[in-house]
Formats: sequence, structure tokens, C-alpha cells
Amino acid sequence: MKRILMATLLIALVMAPIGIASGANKQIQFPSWMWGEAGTGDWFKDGVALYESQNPGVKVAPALVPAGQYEEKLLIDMAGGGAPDLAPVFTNMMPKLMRMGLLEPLDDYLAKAEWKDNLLPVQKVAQYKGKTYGVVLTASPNGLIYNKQLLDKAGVGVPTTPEEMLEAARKVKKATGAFGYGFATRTADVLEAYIPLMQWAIGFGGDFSKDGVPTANDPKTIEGLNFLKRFFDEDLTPKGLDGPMLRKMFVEGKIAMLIDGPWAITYVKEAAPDLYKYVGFAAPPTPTHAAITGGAFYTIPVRAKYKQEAFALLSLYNQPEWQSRWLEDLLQIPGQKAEISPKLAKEHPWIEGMVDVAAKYPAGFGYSAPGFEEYAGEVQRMVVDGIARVWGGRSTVEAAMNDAQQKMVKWAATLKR
Amino acid sequence: MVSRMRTASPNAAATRNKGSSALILPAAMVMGAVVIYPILTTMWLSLTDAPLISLSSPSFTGLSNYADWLSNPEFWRSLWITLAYTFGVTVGSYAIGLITAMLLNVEFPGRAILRGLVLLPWAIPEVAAVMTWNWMLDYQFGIVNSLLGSHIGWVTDSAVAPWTVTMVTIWKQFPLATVVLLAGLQAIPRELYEASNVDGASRLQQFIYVTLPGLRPVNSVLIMMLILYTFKRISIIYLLTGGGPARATEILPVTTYLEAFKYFRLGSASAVGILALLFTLVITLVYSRFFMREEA
Repeated sequence: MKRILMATLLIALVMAPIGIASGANKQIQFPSWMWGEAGTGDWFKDGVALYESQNPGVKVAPALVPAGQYEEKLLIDMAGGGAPDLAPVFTNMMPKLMRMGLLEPLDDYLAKAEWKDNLLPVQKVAQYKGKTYGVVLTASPNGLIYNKQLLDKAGVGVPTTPEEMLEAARKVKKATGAFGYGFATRTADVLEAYIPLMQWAIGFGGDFSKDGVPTANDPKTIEGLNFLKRFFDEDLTPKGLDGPMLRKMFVEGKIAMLIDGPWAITYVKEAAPDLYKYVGFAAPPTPTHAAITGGAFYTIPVRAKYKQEAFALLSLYNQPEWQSRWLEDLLQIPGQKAEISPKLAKEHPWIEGMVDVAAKYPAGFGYSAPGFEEYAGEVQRMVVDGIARVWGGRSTVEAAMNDAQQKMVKWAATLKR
Repeated sequence: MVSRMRTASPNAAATRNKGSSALILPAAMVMGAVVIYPILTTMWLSLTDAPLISLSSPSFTGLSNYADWLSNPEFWRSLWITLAYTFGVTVGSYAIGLITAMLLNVEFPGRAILRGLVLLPWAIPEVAAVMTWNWMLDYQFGIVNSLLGSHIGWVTDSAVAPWTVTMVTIWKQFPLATVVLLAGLQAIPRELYEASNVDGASRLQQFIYVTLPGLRPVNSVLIMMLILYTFKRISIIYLLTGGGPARATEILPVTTYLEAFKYFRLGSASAVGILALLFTLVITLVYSRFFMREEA
């Protein structure tokens, strides 16, 4: 009996400091794929430092999760009954999380936020059944990113139409040996392979669905994809590669044009400062110029422990000085309307092009087919399955999209919506 | 001793049985927790419409998930790909394993080094190995196309990709066959070869009438292991092709993974998982019965 008492006392003594340590502070669990990113990670960390200095009783626990695994890890964490307090999520995750009832409505918090009216129009993606479940963090458009040195060597200007782009790609290949235009054709990564397909489909006025009705074989969709295939057929794009590899080749001066987000230019700035001054950003040279808008939202999970504290941190990041810093330091569009200073425009001329595209041609939010936001992954898979046969030389675009359309119609009929 | 055993009271036997039961109880509890419970949970989930995440309880849907899958041509296609992949990898691993084992069973300078080299694919972490293969097989810049002077879409052409994933899996798995078969070869008495030499048997006759029968005891276990390892293997295909292009390499474990973690339909994914488990059981039973009969 004495031994048991001694052992209990010993365990209590060992456990006591742990209990005291964990009970002393509220700890905001804040996972993100951005903690490890140069620039972006610093922006977040500086915000945390300021927040902790203003709120001595609260600590922020950052957790780095790689972008490619972020959605799965977050969902599995939530499935296991856990939940972070503040979770940035990709735009394409919003519809699913809202419909599953996993996010806290933020309307009451936002009512008191002085910055709520400055949020970008993409904020509507975070609304469901009259409630708001997220706050836009960033919303940068995909545009034509070009290497002016290579275009100059080929004697061509910045293309504004599909035909001009094709001609420019041919001349670049002939004059420099570099690929004219790089787009992802490695279908093992479904989303990476889907983005250029969506870009060219909406660029020609089509899409893979309209208001929840499949339109994969819409003539405009097929026209856009057939145009894209011309770059592939004429060996003007490297084959079998994904987005990250294409960006690397662009940085190395082996590709003249990409249709990508500003993060590709940030990469150039860090990896090839000499090339940076020759890089430009313009509207996608398609008939509609529609620009897929990638981005992210801040959310607070419904099971979060410290919701008030998480919103206070979110609110700090939405203050004007932090929003300006996002634009000026990270060279990306922040969640609120931001003005470009003359100094910024002079140092980074391409920024004006990006802000212009973001204002005029925002489209394709969350890489989802309209009306199938919750099932974006399945639509992407059916479309990419079809196009994989085209890239493998075993089907025409028309046949592949007719097949995808049939599958989508059959699949859509089984959905409980 | 015999008479004492014969006269042991029923009470003593019962006590002995109780003691044995107590000894296996911890192992049984662990098995129950890590094998039986997950299988029962999966079986239950397969009868519901459970999503991956839900704050409410899933609804019971009976056998509808099974009916949906069994009437879905994509399921049968996926099953066929799984069987073809399993067959190809098992036969390929066994054949290459047997050749390398026979080579390593002969004494020659540098045999120890070669043994180490043969085992390398098994020792290399799977993800690192697959990423390296991915680069080697790249259409545009891969060393394989460069050396062959070809333009083959090893992982991007739907007609080629199934062969590619089979080849890479064989490369990863054959050292297991080599090690087991080498042990089997070394267990065959030398006297049998000496006797067959005296009888004037050729090398081929020695292989057919001495080596192959001598390997029978290890074959039954090895082939079963190769089948089961291949049937459940997901990482090589998922990392190399993601089940594509155009679902050409989508084996049942990939289907299960996509259903659960990409489309978040846990009930439906559980049903595919259980169906895959049933097919594995059928293969195992058929194979065991066949070999047990052979052994008898």
C-alpha cells in the first residue's frame, strides 16, 4: 500500500509541470502549407509575433503541412475528431467543407470587423445558404507569364490571341530551341493536368459544366482543347511534365511562356534574379481572356477550441498595413482591394498586369466545374481520363470529350443533391 | 509415461487447456484490436453511406454500395487490371528471382558483392525508388528513352503504362524471391546432384527432376507471399501513374484510396475494400488447397 502511495505521488509530481505548462496559455493550432514558403512564411510568422506580444495569454502553434497533402491531412484530422483553430484552405476546398458543416459561420465575427467591406468579390465563394464561412486570404489570377528575352530573340511581341500565341511559340522554338509554351500533361497529378484544360476551355467560352449540367463536349470546350493540342502536336511544349517542373524550366530559360499564377514569377525572382526583369504578366491570350483564379481562404473549424482568439489573429492579418505588405513584399493579390504604389509599379512592372487581369477577367474559382463545386475532384478526374488518351495519341479531343460527357451525365444522375 | 498420460484426469486436462488459453490471450487481444476490429468496422461502414467526415451518424444503406460496385463496369475493369498486374508481377518476380538465386548458388569470385547488389532494390525505400524511376522513364528527358533513342510514353501512354508499373514492381520485388529461393536451393542435398550426374543426367534434366521438386516446400509459401504483396501494393502505382493514364493502371487498392481520400466516400470505399478482401481470400483458398494437395 505504501509503495502504491509513493508511486502515485511520484506520477503526480512528474505530471504536474506538464499540466501547468499546458494550462498556462491558450494555444491556437494553426496548420498551413505556407509556413515554409520564403516570404509568405515570414509574413505569417511576423503576424504571429505581433499577435502574441499583444495577447500575452495566447500562443500560436504553427504546423507546416506540405501543400500536396494539406487537404487530405486536414480532413483526416477533422475525421478523427480533431480540428485546428485557424485553418487556411484552398479555394477548391471551400464548397466541400461548407456543405459538410465543418466550418464555423463567421457572420457574427465579421459584423464587428471594420475591414469586411474591402474584401474581394471572390469572397462569395465562402458563402453558403446565406452564411459566410471563410475570409479570402489571397486570390491571384493565372495569366500569360512570358520571358521577354526569348520573345525578343524570336522577333515576336506579347501575344493577345490564340493564333498569335501559337505563332510566337513556333518562332521561339525555331529561333532559340526553347519550348514556346509549357503546360502540364502528366496525368498522374490530376489537378495539375486539369488546370490547362480548364484554362483553354473557359478561354474559348466553354467549360466542362454549366449550372450543374455536364458540357464536356460543348463545341467551344472542344475548340479550346483542340487549339491547346496544336501546341502538343507541334512539339512546342515539353511532354509528360507537371506544373512545378515546368516552372523550373521557365526559370532556366527553357520555356518562353506559361499560363500560371504570380507564384511562378516569385519563383523566378528568387531562383533567377537576372531573368526577373525580363518577365511579364498579361491576360491569357484566349478569346475571353478568362483567368483561372487560384487562392485561399481563412476558416475556423466548427470544432475549434479558441474561435474568438483565432478570429482575432485572422483580423490582424486583415489590417491595411498587413494587406499592403502582402502585395508589396510577396507580389501577390491580397484578400482586400489594394492600391499599387508608383514605387512598386516601377520596381515590379508586371504587377500592374496582374492587378489588371485580376480586376477584369476573374474566373474558374477553385478549379471546379460550375454546379459541381463539391465534386470538383471527380469532374477533374473524368476530364483528365479523357484527355490522357489524347496525349497518348489514342483518341481525338472530340471522341475523348464525348466519352467524358457520357460518363459525367451518367455519374451526375447518381448524385444526391 | 504413456500410462500416466492415459490415466490423467479430465480435470488436469482442463487446467492445462486453461493455461494455454491464458498464454495466447494477449496475442489474441492484439490481433483482435489491430485486425478483427478494423475489418468489422470496415464491414459495417460498407453498409452505410458514411462520408470521410461527418458530424452526424451515417445512414444504413444495406447492400446498396456492393450492388453499385458490382454493377459498375469500372469495378470489373479495375479487378481485371488488379489480377493481370498480380499475375504479371508474381510470375516475373519468381522467374527473375529463380535465375538470380541459381546464379548466386554457384561459387565464383565476388559472389558476396553480387548478393548485396541483388538485394538493393528490396532495401531502397519505395518512394525514393519510384521517384527515381519516374525521372528515368520521363517521356521528354528520361534516360531510358535517351538510351533507347525512343519516344515512348512509359507512364503517359495508356497502352504502355500497365507494362511499366509491372516492370517496376518486379524490379522492387524480385529480391524477395531470390532470397527465399536461394535458401531453398541450398537446402537441396548435394548428393542428389551427384547421383544424377552418375546417372548421366543433363543440366536441364537436373533442373527439372532435382531442382524444381527440391524447391517445392519454399514455392508454396513464396508464391503466396508474392501474390499477397502484389495484390495489396498501392504506392508504386499511385506514385508512378496515380492509377492513370485513363485508369489504365487503376488497381483495386487505388480505387479504394481514391474513393476514401479523394472523393471522401468512406462507405463506398469500404465496400470496394471488402470486395478486394474477398477476392484475396478466394485466391488464397484456391491456391492453398491446390498446393496442399500437391504437398500431400
